[in-house]
Amino acid sequence: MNFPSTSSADAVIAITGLSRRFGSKLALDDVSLFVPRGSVFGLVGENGAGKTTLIKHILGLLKAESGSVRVFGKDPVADPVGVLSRVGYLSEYRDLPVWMRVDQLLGYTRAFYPGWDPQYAEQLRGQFDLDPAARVKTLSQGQQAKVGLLIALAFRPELLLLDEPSSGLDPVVRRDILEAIIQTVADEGRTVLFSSHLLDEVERVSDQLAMIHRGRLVLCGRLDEIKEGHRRLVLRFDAPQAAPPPMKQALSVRGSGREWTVLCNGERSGLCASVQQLGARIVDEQVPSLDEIFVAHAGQKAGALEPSTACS
Amino acid sequence: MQINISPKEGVPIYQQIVNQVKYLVASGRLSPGEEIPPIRALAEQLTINPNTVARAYLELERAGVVTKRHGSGTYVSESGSPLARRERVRILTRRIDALLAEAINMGIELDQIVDLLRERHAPMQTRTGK
Amino acid sequence: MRSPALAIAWEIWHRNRVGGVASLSVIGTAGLVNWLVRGNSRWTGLAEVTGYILLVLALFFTFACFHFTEGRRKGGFGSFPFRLYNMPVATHWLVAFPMLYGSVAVLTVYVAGAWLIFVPLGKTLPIVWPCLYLVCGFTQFQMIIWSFPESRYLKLLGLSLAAAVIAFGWMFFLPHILEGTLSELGYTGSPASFKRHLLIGLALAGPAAFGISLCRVHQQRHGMTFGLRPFAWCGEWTSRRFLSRPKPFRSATQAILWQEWRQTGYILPIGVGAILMMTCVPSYLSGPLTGKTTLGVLSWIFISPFLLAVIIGRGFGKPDFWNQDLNMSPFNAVRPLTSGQWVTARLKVAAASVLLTWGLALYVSFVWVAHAGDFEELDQLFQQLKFHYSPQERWSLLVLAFFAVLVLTWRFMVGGLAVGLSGRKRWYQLSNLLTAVVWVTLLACIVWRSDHSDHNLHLYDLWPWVTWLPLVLGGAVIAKSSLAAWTWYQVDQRQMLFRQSIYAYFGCWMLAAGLLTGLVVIAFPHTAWLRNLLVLLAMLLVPLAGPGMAMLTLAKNRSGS
Repeated sequence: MNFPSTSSADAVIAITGLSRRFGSKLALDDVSLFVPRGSVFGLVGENGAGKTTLIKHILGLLKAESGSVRVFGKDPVADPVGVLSRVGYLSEYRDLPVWMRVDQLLGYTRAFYPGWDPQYAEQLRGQFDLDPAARVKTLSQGQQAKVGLLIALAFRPELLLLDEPSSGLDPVVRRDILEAIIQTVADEGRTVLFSSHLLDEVERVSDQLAMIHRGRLVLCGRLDEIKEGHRRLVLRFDAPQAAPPPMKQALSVRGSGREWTVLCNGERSGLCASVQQLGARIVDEQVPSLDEIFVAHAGQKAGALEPSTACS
Repeated sequence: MQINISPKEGVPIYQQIVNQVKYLVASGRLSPGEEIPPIRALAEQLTINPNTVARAYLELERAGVVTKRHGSGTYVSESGSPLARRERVRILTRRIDALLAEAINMGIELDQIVDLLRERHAPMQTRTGK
Repeated sequence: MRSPALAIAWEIWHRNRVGGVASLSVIGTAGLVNWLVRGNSRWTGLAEVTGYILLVLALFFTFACFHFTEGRRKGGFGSFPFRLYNMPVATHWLVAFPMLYGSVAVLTVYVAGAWLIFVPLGKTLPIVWPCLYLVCGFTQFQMIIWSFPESRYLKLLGLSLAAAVIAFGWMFFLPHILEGTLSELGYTGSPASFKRHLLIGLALAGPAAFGISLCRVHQQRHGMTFGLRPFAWCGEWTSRRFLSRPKPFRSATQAILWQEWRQTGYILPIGVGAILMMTCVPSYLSGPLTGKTTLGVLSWIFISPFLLAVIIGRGFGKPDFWNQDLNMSPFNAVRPLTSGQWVTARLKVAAASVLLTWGLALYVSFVWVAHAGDFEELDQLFQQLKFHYSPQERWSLLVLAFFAVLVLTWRFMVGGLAVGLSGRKRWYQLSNLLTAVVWVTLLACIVWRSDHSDHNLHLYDLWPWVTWLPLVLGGAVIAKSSLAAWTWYQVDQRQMLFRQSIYAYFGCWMLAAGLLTGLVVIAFPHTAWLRNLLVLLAMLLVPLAGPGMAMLTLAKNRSGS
């Protein structure tokens, strides 16, 4: 299931054959993907699938055991300054120094990035409604997320990396974060990569999507092509079926008796052919939501997985 | 320009924008020559990817519903253009198809439908004074 | 787990089982060895000293096991584990169980040590007084760490004071109390009544600590802030007025210097300040002092920065002083700085800290001696100096000695960086253990020497060591230089630091080593062998490979290896 994408020459992040083991657990298994410049890249997967591990490799917080990671063409472990000065990062745990005040934190972060725009920072601070004299310790979770986002955005980074930016936050803050992502990508040439569970957010803002399941890449490519490559078919059989019909492109099968709902991926002609082989009729055909696609892929048993997809 | 999109609908987001803009133009809520918001503004308003909005605008331009003027934004095409009228007819045709399908399912004859249409049309005409 | 009592006991044991088993087995082995060598008089002296060292280490470790605190995720510092507040257990049981277990454990360790280690050697240690003392000290320790949940500096202050009192009392007061020779220290009342008062005081201190801890933990459990609110407001106001930075930082290195200073720079000065206050104020208030006591207090003032620097240096080596975790936090790891710049910031902050501390110590000692001290002994020392050295030599000795003291303290502070920043917990713990062993041995030797000061140390007593020592030291210097060359070459290859900075550091090292050599040469103009030995030692003491190693290990830690 290869989705044609931009060439790797244009890629801000180029990961090839990355594998990582923690003890006996294989956290990443031969993952390859390319993030094109100017795109919004959504990374989805269940908890523990390997999204944070992947993001840490991009930042150089983990060294690639096998395979390679290149960001802006450089190795983030060998050249931390060259890579990190162009990357804005918001971690899942909002890991901020709790003893600093907000204005101290802004002043401190400003010293690292020559591209820091004080007016933009001030505008964001007002937009996020943050009291400059408050200590980070006393801020609520949503406010801490906003502060973290502020210091990641204010120097207009070429690459914005967000690890679960909306986790644990109320809808108001989530909307603020989404707006900030849109504003970032609307500026020419800036790229965003974010991992999230909230698939409707991912659907709204991403151009490209990658889904990781148990350390392997099961989906990768443009969002609209992925959605168009999946179908929810309602099959009607002449005789009631005792067991779920064995359709080979099917990811999930539900139903009973004569009517069965199947979520499958692949070429339409191939699907029609398989359905005909089973001796059924397609009575309804719809494009499934990303939620359903995700759940269907995540529900696959380990043995049934195809070999890891390469995202070209 | 009031547009609502929903990612879960099963229709791609850009298509939803295209359909809604066409509807707004056809129903008169967007007058010919009126400016529609720039790509970035609409993207921020709806919190969706600007590329999606760009794609929708491209589609609308190809269909002739809007025109892009260099440097000054995107505007609704002039009315009286056969494309706008075609669009209106297309929307209505879809509704009529849905109505006819339901009528057939319920076993109502075509003559009964036409009579029903006339019956419902008369008071509406007097009400709107057209 | 049928009751909360057992559950808490299990938790404490399980967390520290490795160390617990290790220390018990060490005591057991020591006891066995002592039983085997009990007849042999040449070994019993050594066995006695080793026994003391092991006992002290085991007691330290037991105290550390019962450091029953946890930090909050949202960002407070260590306080009573707040997750226990959700359990259906009354507060007085929550506070009582760790205290009880801790007291019992400390007593067991001491009694086991006294019985297993010293009885075979024919020496009986006193039981009652030290036990009371230990229990009292332990309960105060727990009370302090539980009572200041939000203010880490207050906690540090309290711990420094308590540690100073305990150590002071144990080393100087306890022997005199036991032997009834308090009059030597200037006490003119009846020893029996003093003993009685002290007994009552110590016995009451335990329950008092329990009461205070109960109050504070109860307040924390139910979210009542009491009493510290005006201080907190004061602190906020001063920090807002005086510590806010209106101007932006000039560069990234300035920013991390500020961050490191705010996080760890004040620790050494505050600790030493607490000890100074604890030593000078009572001795000032107690009236005129003899010459010997003046000398004793002065030596204590000058030794305490070293001791504290050793202890604090262990924590200073960690990526985050206030956190047990040895991984570099992602917030810091994602800053566009090389590991070399991080380590350099640490080194500079340590140097500033050391300067501030010694400045404080010197200033306080001058003021104190001028007001409360007796110049007699000092005068004698000065006469000796005048006798041996010419005026220029005297002045240069003083200046160079001050400089040497600064370098040594700095060395203790930054010595743990290479291991602490590596992120490997076992190596870090091992290194702490080694340091503890070395220092306790040193202190034990000093105490033993001062006890047996009549026993003159002749050169031929040390004969085999004296021939080997220069070779060993020379070999160590060569090893150190090769290691240093390799590490700094690696640092340069990976471009962690500008070449100028590396050369600047080499320059500083040579200056420091040169000045120390100068000190040695002036101080010992006649004994060539001692001079050479000390020069080699000086070259070993100034850190050369350490900072380079620290940069390499931090880089590895940062990329998660």
